[in-house]
Amino acid sequence: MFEDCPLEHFIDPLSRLDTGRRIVRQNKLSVERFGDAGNQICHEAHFNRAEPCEGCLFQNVVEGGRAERWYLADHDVGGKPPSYYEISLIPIVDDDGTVAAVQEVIRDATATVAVEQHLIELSESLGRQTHNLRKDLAELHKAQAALIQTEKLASLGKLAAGLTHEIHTPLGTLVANLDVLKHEIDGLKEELAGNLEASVRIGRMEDLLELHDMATNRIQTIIRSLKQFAHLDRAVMEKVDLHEGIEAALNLLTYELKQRIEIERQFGAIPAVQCRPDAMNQVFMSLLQNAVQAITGTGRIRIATRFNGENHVELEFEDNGKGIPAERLDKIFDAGFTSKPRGVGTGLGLAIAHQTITGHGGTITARSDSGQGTLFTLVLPVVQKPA
Amino acid sequence: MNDTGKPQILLVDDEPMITRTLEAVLRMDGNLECIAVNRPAEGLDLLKSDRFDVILSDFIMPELDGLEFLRQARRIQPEASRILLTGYADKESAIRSINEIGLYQYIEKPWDNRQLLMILRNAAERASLLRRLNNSAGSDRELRQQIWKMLI
Repeated sequence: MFEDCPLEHFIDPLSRLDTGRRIVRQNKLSVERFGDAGNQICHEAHFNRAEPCEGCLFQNVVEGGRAERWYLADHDVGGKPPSYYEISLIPIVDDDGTVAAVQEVIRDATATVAVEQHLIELSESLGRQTHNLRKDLAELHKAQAALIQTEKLASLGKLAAGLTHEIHTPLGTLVANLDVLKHEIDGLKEELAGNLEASVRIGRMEDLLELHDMATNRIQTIIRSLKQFAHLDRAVMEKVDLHEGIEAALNLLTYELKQRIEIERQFGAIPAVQCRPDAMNQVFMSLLQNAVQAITGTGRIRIATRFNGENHVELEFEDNGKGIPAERLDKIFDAGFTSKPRGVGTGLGLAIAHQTITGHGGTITARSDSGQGTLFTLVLPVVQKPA
Repeated sequence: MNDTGKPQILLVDDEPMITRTLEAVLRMDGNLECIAVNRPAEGLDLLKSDRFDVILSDFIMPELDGLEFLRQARRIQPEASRILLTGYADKESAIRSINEIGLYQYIEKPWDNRQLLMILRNAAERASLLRRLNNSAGSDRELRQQIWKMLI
């Protein structure tokens, strides 16, 4: 180039190449940077390479007659971090429209790329932080749900304690008096032996007493289940028979099961499991309630328990209700997620169940086919690892 | 034991429903005499004037709870057997109280009549043994005191 050409003092190294990539002219900076490279092939002179650089668009420029620009990483400098170059190729077109030469501009872009990379890293780190925050938020939601549930359990416990105390007085009276009444009727029977009319009346009274006996027994069972369910006297870790908890929950659901839903028990011989019985019973209750609500009309709930012979018991709760759509299945353990109408579900039941089971070092998984029912599988360690 | 020779039971429950029921149950048995009151204060007055073999008290009563009532009853008639009848579901505090005030038994509502009567008979037997031990003349006084301590 000529001294009076402004490009001679351009801020980046400039080289003019012929269509065979041979350097025919250089500006001042190009000579300073790459030495006198006249007649050398560009990739040899600039980057000390035997082959054209990766991503080179030289041929496109020659054939297409349009300028191109790309970035090149140069790793040749031993040990140092790579340098980056922005390479621009501008075609120099003859009067007849053919590309006669190519003007090359090599701009050192290392600093720009470094800034870009820094930005990418920042953005990735922001992404990670956002992800972690979301996870923390979800954990907080779960913790909040657990707190609410603990409160609910506590108030259920208080309610059950008050209720059982209040009911025990009239119930005690009923149970004890039935006995005395039977005794009195037996006495009457002896005294009125031979009196046909009286013995018919006494027979009716005995029938009624039998009904009263059944009714008071039923009340006793319900109260016992309520007590057992709320575990008024045991809220700490202890070894319990899980079948008892399942039966207590089933007893409390009698009204909802009625003649509508058949319960299939496949109870295996499982050892006593170390757990918090009040929380565990709440899990059974949640799963059974969901199963009941999933069944419209008549249906079946299967409950299976088995021992793996080592340190785990496996429980299955399966219903043949309407099932959970695939797109919802991975959300069911999230706090606040519910498909039920307002007032029916709180969206906490399964979140709490999940937390309770994982808190005991176990797992809870769900499998469902829409319209075919849902299967929950719980795996629980028999003995808790010391904290 | 009173003039009839039958063991005397003092029943205390603020609910007449319960005391009337217990009276009927004891009447059915026929071998136990009882007096029922609905206020613990009345029970304490009776303990000062009459001798009882067994004191059966409710747990939660508005004026004085069953534990405090039985604690005071022990001071008046230490040899009478004390039984707590409760509908309260808190077993822990019940067990604690049994240890604290030396209960003879703890019965939960609703109770089983046959079991209740058996407990009452045994409790009466224990009280009568204690009295005989206390009154027997000529036996070793120190030994008597030791047995007394063990039983109360």
